[in-house]
Amino acid sequence: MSFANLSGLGVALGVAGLAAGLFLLQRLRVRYQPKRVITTLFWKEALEEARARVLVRRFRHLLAYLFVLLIASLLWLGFADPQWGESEDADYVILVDGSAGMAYGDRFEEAIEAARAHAAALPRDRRAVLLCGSRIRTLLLPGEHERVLDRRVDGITPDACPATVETALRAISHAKDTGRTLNVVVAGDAPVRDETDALLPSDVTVSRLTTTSARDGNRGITALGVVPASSGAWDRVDVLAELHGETAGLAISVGGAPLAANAARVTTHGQRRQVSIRDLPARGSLLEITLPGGDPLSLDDVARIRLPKRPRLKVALSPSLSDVLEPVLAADPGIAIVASGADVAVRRGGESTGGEIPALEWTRPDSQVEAILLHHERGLQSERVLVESFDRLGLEDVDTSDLAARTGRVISLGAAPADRRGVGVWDTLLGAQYNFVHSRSFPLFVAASLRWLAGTTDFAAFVAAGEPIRGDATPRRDAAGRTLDPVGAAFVPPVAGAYASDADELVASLLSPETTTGSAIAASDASASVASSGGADALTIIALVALGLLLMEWFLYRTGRMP
Amino acid sequence: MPDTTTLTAKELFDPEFLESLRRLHVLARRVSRGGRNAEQRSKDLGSGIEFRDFRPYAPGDDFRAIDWTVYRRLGKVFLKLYEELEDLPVYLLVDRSRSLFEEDPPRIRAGLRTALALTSISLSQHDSVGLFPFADNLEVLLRPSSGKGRLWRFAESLASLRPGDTTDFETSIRTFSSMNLREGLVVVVSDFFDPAGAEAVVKALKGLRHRVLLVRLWRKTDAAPDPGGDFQLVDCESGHTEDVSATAPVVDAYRRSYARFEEQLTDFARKKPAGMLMLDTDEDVVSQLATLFETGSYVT
Repeated sequence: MSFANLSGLGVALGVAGLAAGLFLLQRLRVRYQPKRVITTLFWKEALEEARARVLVRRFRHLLAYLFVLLIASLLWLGFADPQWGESEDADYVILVDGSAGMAYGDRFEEAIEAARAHAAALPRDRRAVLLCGSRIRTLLLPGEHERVLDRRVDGITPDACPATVETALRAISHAKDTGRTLNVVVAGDAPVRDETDALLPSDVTVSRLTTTSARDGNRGITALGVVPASSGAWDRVDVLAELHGETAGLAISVGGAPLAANAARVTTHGQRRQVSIRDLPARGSLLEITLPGGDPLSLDDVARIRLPKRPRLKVALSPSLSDVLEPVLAADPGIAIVASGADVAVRRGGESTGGEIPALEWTRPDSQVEAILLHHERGLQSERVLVESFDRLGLEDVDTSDLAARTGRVISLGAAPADRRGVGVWDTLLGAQYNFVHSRSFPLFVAASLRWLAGTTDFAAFVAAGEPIRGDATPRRDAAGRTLDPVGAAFVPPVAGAYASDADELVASLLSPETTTGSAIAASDASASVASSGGADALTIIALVALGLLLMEWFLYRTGRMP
Repeated sequence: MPDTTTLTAKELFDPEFLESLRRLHVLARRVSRGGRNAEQRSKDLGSGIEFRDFRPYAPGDDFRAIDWTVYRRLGKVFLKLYEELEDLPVYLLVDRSRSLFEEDPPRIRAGLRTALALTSISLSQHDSVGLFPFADNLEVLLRPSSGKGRLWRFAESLASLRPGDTTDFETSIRTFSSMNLREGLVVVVSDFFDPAGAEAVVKALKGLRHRVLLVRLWRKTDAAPDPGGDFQLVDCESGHTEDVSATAPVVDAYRRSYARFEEQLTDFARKKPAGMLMLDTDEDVVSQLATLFETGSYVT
């Protein structure tokens, strides 16, 4: 047994103090109640005969003293808030699953209620309740009364995001106090896989408070992605969606305009339905797929994605290079060779083709030390530009060893700040003897360099809540205006919704097959179930016993059996 | 506390009580068949009472003729038979101190009824009766007089008694003695709770040159009280207070003190000799007196 409000020593000292205090009260003189009698003659004589000449009274009413001491001790114990069967060396964390799956029926409300009941049975100063939604929020700090939960969860609903309990589990496991056992209790359907459990420290135990339930009768959108059009049209994209359950009532719109029913092609694979839409204009419109409601989980009945903007890149080509580079540029469907109004230029060093625009310049080897020199905007670190651009420009595919052997010179890569972007390459590498222009890496290098010069970015093909967006480390603002900075890592939209940056906007959807189908619930779960704390807690029992004793005291006093 | 001061003679001495007094007269008259002991004729007024013989007590005998000394020695009630007894005056000293008017029912009610009963019997036997109420001092309410027709006058006088202050036997008896009344039977109706203690009561009574009958108005709770807790007891007469926690030792000491009080009164009665009638104020007065006249069992 432990105590929520006091230590065991504190409880013992309190009881001892009560015993001493009540003992002194018994010994002190009392306030007498006036009573009129016909004579005090005999009382006077009796008192003179029996009265002790001491400061305090003789101790009396032992049974009454013990009775009152029992009541006072119970009240003291009630204040101490005893907790039965809990170790003092353990901490307790209740993780309430606040992911999209908990919006299934009344699962979230059930989990909150179970968490509150269980928290009431745990030592108050050593238990906390966390909500695992799109982010981890503290619902109940150690020391707070469980009734605070009611106010804290008021208005909170599950987030349109996949389960994050495992993430929270790893985080609190790392942050826990050493030398103390951490008992984690999951309230909700979020799975805790064996592999996750295996990574936890040995003194962390995971159990489940509520029983999970299958997602029978639910249908939802489990995937939505964009790919370049299979037709080869640069400015068009294909959209592929996957649904769980029937597609009846499926509605698709682009930029708010409904799509014709025959625009989508549906194929069936068991419970899965694949919906493909081809050659949609890549103009940055918002595509939305909606399933009619009526099933227990509504968060997966809608999915949105922002289609990319894919205009063709306009390139000004120097006539001096047309024999070598025009075939390469013409083979790229995303590039159009123009005479004016170009986005980027391809020219030799010193030429003015295209004017003052970013340019891929073929320069004489004596004008720059590096074989390839990147000019980047001022304010950026050249080393970082080099690292980020290495893959993006396709340089890893360039056989620099062969080039070095053939040219007899060191093939190096450099970066330097400039007024505008630019790529300088030794023009000698255009020579056929170096085998560069005939290599498979040459068209890729040219295409990638021109797109880097134009600032073109890859579009996000799949934007799901909780899933990192590869190659996108841009800080973005969510719908509430909060800035989410991935700090160099891939951006992860925490919940379905729009995330804007200065350049573009991402729209994330739930897209969680585990949430829609409940497959993860049925999978192997490392968490053992714990019984919900039912029945009256110790405080209630103590209060009832004390009340009964007080009533008994009143009865004994009224019947004259107790002084 | 019940307000007995507003009771009239009719309320105090209701028809039922007065009817019961007649039955008491019948009991009292039976004694005349066995020998005169009440309607005495005196050869020489002022020369005293002349003893003739003893005979066993019989129901109906005059309680005034009971020999208390013989009773205590032998455990049997005998009557003294006198020659030429006549007009033995009866002096009723009725305690009207505050303590008699406390409690519910107040002891004064039983005291007044007892006084009237004894008055009724005495008047019916042609004895003279005087009424002397007392508290902190004694006063003359009705001088000794005889005549059966005066009973109602006595009843009204008794009913007119109002609560006095403290009990002061010494002063009251001294006042009575200073009246130099003809020797007779002094009946003291009281609870005998004099703040000066039993010693003062006994000392005062010893000064009486009359035959004495003490009528003690008592209750069962007098001997074994239980205030039940911690009380500041206030004496209704003197206002004296005592803080009392009724622990077992204190209650035991009380009982011992009360026993000493009883013993002192009894010892006085034994030595005087005097009669003592223990009258339970919670019981019917007439029936207790009837028992006295029939068996003498209330006489100590």
